[in-house]
Amino acid sequence: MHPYSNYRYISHPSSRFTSLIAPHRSLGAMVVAYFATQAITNMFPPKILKEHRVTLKMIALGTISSRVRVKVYAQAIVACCGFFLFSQYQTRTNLDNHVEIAIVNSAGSVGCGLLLIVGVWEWIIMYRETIKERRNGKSIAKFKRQSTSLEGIHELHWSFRATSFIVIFLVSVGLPAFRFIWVEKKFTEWQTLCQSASVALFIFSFMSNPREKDRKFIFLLFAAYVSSELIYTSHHIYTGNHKKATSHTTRFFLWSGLFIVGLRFRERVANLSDERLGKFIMESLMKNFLNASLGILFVSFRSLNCVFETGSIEMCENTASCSTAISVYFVINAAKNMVDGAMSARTRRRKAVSWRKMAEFSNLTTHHLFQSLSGGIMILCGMFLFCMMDNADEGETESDRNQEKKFLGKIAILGFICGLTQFALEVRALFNGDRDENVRSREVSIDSEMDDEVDDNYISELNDVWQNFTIVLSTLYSLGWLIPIFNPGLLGSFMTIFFMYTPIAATAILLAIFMKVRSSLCSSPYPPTHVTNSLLLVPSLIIAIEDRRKLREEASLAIYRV
Amino acid sequence: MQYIAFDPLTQVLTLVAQVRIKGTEKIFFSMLMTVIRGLATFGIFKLLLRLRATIGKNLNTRQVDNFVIDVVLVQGVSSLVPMAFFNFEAISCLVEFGDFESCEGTTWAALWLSCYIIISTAITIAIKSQSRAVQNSVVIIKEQVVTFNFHTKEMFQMSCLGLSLPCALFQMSSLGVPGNAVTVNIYMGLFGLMVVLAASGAEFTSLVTKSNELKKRASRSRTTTFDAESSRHLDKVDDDGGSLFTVGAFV
Repeated sequence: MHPYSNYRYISHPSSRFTSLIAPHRSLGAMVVAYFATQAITNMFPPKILKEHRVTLKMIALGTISSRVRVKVYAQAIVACCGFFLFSQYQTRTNLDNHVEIAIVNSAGSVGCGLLLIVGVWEWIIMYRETIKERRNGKSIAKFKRQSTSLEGIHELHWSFRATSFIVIFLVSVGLPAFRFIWVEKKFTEWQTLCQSASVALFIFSFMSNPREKDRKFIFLLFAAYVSSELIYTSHHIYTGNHKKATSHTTRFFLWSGLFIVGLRFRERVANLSDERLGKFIMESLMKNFLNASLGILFVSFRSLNCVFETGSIEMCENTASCSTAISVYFVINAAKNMVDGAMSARTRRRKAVSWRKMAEFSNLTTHHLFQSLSGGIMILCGMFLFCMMDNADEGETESDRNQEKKFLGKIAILGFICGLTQFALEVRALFNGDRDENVRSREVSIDSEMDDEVDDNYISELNDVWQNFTIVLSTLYSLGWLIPIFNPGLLGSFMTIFFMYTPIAATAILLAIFMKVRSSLCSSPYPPTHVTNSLLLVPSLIIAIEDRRKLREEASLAIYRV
Repeated sequence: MQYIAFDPLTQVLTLVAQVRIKGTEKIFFSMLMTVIRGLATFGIFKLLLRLRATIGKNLNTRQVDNFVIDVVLVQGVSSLVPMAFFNFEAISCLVEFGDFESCEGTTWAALWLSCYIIISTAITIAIKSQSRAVQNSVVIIKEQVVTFNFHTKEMFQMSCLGLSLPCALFQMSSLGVPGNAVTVNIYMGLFGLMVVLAASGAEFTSLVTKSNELKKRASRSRTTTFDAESSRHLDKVDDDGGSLFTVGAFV
């Protein structure tokens, strides 16, 4: 056998080009296939199309035929193929061996094939229906379009729970078992990669039937989920690694605590009215977690791409860690939105963070401020980790990898803590809102007056805090020029960083101009210099919070007087 | 007002930095460039101030509320997020390669993409500050694109968009790619910027023309049937979302 037979695809320049464009070609073919099928599908009569449209409600309730079920699964597979090819496309590297090229081509073929098969299948059925409808003069479609009311939805279809349980069991029990049976560390890495998906599925199935009194399934699900922590704890105690054993035990207690809070939240959701429960299940649970799962799939396929390239998950440890951290942020965000969805409109207006509150800083509590800040930091950490995912660990030395791993770990933990804080504050707002509602319902009803007051409260300008924030951004830019003045040797690095920072400073100035659109009408004197103003950011924040406290005190006094 | 302190300080510091780095040989050129840059930014600033004054005078309280929260705060902060993302791409490149030369392409790409975002944010602010009627007459809708039914100005804008899109996509694909062959990046980015600026200029002139048309129409109707007709028209305009210039003319 020729020694280079495995590398025949990169032996010739033309083959090298083929290997470079393989992901692009496959992805392009899928995009073309998608648009072609959509174009042909749209040629059928609107009535037939309407009857064949698959809604999220139909999927949630499981009221779909076998054909539609196959179609949904096929579309999920197509989405996976698309994500995989997109992650390959973004690496822009030569594919090193024929196996990788074969995988890429297969993904493209499967994606295109499924799109075409499902498309043709649907066209045939729609064509028959169109002909029959023309003959009979009425619709004979089997599946009537369901009503848009969300009142009847109390739980999701059982298949969601079953699928979730199987996946959670495989990830939390199966993978650790494989790891100890075959003594392969790679199973732990795979488990880390799948952990966030497992958490998302756990929350999803946990909340999918909130009115179910029988909690056996919920406890079974939780047992399956935390069994991984127990397995690892016992293993580390057995091997004498007490530090790791403590870490896993702590995680077990953390999950248990969250589970208890979750049970309370579930009870609260179960007491919602029928319509609100339906809305919660469709909007806050189904759509929200669907979006989160798409995000998780996207980042997971970037890690999988690294695994396919290097051939081992150990080489992609850092990329996988980034992927897991970002996925966890997606789950935290989805969970936060879910809690937000369980709030009543009044509680949301009073207790939750909103852009309006952020704009005027008048009804903003310290908790709101802290929650917004935590959310912002989590997003920044997520973006940074996403950018660090591009880096392959292959060419790095062991010490470099460890150093990078520690650095990324710190960023990931910072984002996680901020995300968890944000989530905890949202839960706190929900329960506080409930308590206030209960107290208010027992007292004199003065809500309508106060609500009207809130509704009429239009603002004409943003709070000074925002302008001072933009002043800080622009001042940093101005003062940054002092660096090359004092140290011209830093010019190269300075210019690179300043290139990146210039647009942010420019945007800050642009926004600052429009933050107070009415100030051009009054004849205010020139404010102090922006350097002094930037120093006022912290005092202005304190003043805003103080003002808010005084307003609250006055409002509470007024309520007592009433 | 922030600008009044910000820009001269930045320009002076830039000049001092250039003198410090390049020496006093090209000081005349540096000063000339500083003056040109200062005048250009001053012109843009004055333009934006005029726009702000118009918004402040003519929008009613509810419209100002919507404008300040939805356009300035939400869209403004949202525009900072992709910029931060592009910057992180460059930082990631710096962390990976350790030298600035390898990441020059990524940095340029991040800069150009951020510039496109700033321009789009500015245009969004300008459009949203107008009445619904002006917005509808200026914004290109999907049906127009499908049927290719454009006026000359709209055709120009669409052509500019068609040219700038590949430039932006090219810059996107350059993010995170090592190498110091940045000439293509610079020229492509610059070309894209010029094209985007041209399209924005066309959009801005359309806005001004349309607003002036409405203003003229309103003043004409005021002179002809001043009493009853004008009040009815004012109600109609206000129902329509409020026209900046028309309502302003009546006020």
